[in-house]
Amino acid sequence: MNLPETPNWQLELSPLLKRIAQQRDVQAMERLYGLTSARLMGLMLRILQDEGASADLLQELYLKVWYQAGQFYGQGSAWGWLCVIARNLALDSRRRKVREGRIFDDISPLEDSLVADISPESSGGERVLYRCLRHLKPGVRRLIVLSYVHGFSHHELQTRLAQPLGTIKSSIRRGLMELKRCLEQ
Amino acid sequence: MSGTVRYQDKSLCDALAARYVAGDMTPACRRRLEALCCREPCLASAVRCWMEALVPLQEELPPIPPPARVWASINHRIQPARQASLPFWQRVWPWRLAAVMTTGCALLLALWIYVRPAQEALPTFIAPLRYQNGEVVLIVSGFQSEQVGWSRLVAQWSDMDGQDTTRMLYLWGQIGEGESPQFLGRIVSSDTELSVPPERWHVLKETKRFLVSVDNRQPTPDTALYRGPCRRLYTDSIASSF
Repeated sequence: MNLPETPNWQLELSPLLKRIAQQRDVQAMERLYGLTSARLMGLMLRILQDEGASADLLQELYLKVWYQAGQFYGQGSAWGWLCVIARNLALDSRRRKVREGRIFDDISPLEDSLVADISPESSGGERVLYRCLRHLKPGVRRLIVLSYVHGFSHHELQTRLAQPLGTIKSSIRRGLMELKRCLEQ
Repeated sequence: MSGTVRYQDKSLCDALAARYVAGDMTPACRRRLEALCCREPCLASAVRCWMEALVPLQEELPPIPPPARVWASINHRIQPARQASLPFWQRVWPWRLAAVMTTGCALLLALWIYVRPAQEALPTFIAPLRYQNGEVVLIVSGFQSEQVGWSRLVAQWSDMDGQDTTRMLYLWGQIGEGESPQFLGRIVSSDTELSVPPERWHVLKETKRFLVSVDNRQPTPDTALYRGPCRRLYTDSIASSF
């Protein structure tokens, strides 16, 4: 897969997770927190749009990492693993809030950020991904970014975009496959 | 299709991995997939592949420093957790030390209880002290021990009736006829136990007669309130006959 080079700070993560899993090393945990907390806070805030809730969830995330670091077997990207855990926690929280009627956000303010997200001026490493994203149809690209970056569930997208659920699911599925094929070239 | 064969299907693994990484799964489905990843390499590989493909989307997000309270709280929570994760013997050492000390004390107490009665079981000598009229009133027994501070004299009334046990009496030992009695101690209650230092025990070994006076003036056999001979007891032959 034609992926950008891994940044140096990401290379540090896997050994840190190993030290946490095997030695319960608080210093390794502190270092991991220093390297990743602001980025993961940004990720969660993007999904939850609530700073207090994101901070609380960030704490939950790192406790999960502390206890479950052993589940990361050193294969693949440690940063990717952290992002998936953070996303899953944020998505669960977001969906609870939606069910309880505590999130009434509008998609429209996000439209601007989507443009920035796929800007060709992005730093070199991400260009491949953005080039592939730009190859997608705008509607599909929007669905993927709203779903993946902002954590909108398929049901939420159905309501907000007034499209059939089946269409949304198949569009996202096709878009992701297309994106993957492009990245593999 | 059995589980293992099912998850060897690349397109199925790919579809599941895409849904997992994109966050399009219920928490229960997600947990099941995470469990499957531990034993299905094809699925785990597909998840890794998708994870790495989409992660640059997250890297572009602006970092937002979290409030300081977050790390403070995490640090506070993981410190006790670190204690709990220490090996058992390291976690419980204060309790283990306390348990060892308690056990040691209990063993010493048991040993002391076991040894002490054996030493006091049989007296080394006995002296029945009588009134002038010949009636035995007081029994003095001597228990010798090789350990310093363990030799004792025990004075016991033979009959409590009519005895003024509050009165203080003085016990003396007389080595031989005409010798001056040597003061041994005060008898102050119904049963009195006197600890005998080693140098005093040498006197007791030679004592032929015990005298009791009502004051601290040296008595004679005639002026003493009670008097009686000291009888050595030889226990070895008796004990061996049982």
